[in-house]
Amino acid sequence: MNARPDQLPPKNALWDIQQVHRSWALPHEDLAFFSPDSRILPDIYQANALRAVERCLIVHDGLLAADELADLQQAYADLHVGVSSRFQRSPRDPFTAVGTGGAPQASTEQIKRLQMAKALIINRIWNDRFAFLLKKPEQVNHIDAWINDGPLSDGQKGRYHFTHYDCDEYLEFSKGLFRFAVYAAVFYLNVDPRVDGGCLWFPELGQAVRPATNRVAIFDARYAHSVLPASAPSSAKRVALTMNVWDYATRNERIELESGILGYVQNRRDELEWHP
Amino acid sequence: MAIANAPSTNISQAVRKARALLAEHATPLQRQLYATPIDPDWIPISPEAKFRSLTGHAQARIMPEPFQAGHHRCFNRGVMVIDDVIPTAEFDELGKLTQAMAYVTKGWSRPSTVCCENNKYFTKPFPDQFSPVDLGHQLTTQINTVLDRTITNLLNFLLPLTQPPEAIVHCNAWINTGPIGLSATSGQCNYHFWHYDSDEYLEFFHPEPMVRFPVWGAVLYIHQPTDLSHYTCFEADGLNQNIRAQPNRLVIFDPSLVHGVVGPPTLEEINLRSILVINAWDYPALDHGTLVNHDTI
Repeated sequence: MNARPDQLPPKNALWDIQQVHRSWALPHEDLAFFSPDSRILPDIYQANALRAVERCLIVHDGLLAADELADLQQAYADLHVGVSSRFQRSPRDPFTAVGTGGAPQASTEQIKRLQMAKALIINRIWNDRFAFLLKKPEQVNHIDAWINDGPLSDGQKGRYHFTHYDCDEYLEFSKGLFRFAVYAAVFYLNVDPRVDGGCLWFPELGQAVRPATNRVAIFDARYAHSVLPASAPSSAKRVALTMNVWDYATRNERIELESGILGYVQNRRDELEWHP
Repeated sequence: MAIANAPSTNISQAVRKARALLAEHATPLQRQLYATPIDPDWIPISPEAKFRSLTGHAQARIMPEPFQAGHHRCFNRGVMVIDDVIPTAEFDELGKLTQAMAYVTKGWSRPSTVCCENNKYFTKPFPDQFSPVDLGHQLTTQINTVLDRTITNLLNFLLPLTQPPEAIVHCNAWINTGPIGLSATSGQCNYHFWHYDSDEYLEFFHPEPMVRFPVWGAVLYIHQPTDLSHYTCFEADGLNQNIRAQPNRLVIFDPSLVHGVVGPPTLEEINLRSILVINAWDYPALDHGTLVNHDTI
């Protein structure tokens, strides 16, 4: 069973943080956006204990069989828009989709087909091939997944995608605090061979990962990362499914809370969908 | 490590030694594999790979999937990079000993039997250890003690990736210091030529050279000159991915992927790049380093 919020050691609960200490670690200097007051939350507030292998990066080819890959590529081609999804599971059950955003013009059937294809990838990784990465799988119940099919619009600081952490964005944007996902993963759904560059880059590791169709890169989410510049004909696709694996349901929008200096106050657990 | 063109007398000695060891230690799986006749339809090794039979027989061919250990890997066709794997004090001691080894020998081989008692894994030295240079009892013991501890530590990363973990019963480990001979003529990989990690008895000394891969290959980067960059390269037709050498970084990989090392040469006596290589096995595969005396090659 999951630990209930009130069973957690109080000092490790985010809603019990009353003060940001300047001695807490600064984010990586390559990060595109952060203020001088931004800090990385100390280890006791992080998900480190849930990683069976810390500070790791995995590159694996051939995640999907040919027919599975073709099905997912077609499901995405039918929509051709970025779709974000949330997946959830109960202990020992597969991950199933519980929410979708970003595809208002898509039909229910189209969305369902894409969700099933995404669920296949997620479960292939986290319930099957790389399940060994999760030290306490019963406590890792939420996955946010989204598909990007091109560079983000503006402000990428000369990159295809600016340097960032995969973190709780509510805490980042509202409080300048970084709490990382357990793991992050990028599955390259379709990378045209004409795409030149676009490597996933980890400045702390001095390490790049080349994009390739049907490849997945899995990494400790505390690593800052970016996507290096890419050039390609306009018809060449570079479609990637990105996922963050979580021990709780994060907020996906900025919300100002009326009490508590950090927002994660005990009387707002339900509103915050807090499910440690 | 495999080095071609060894004198034939040395090879015949190595073959005799190998047969004696196998008669005593080979497992049923190993005997079955070694008795399998080569099939001309099997895929030949990559033309890039430097390895060749030392017995003068035909080009080695890769045993097909049913004969391989791929089913023991949680994932194939991949590489895993883990940083800061050895505790700092232990890593510093390993580094000092490795640099000491670099002054007197180019490497150090350490085959081990992997044991499990009460769900706790440990290693013990495989019989008939080979020391490339006599460093005296005290230093030899110190090196082997530190290597055993490091190997056991690294096995803790390999075993969870293995199905089932107890499938790994043996590992061959060796220290490499500096560039590998023959690499200069090996095209892109000028520091260590393209190669597979494989059963070196089967590939070099068996009457019909065949390639069977270990369950896992792994490299621990011990010392990396700070002003130089070296990369372990996985062939473009395979993973097409380079991994940067960084101290205390462990790279675990599917050993069927052809790989090599690219980077500038390092000085012979100071500031050598040094690594620990491990091949984890589902049977006691014999290491070339324990069979052939490097001094005579």
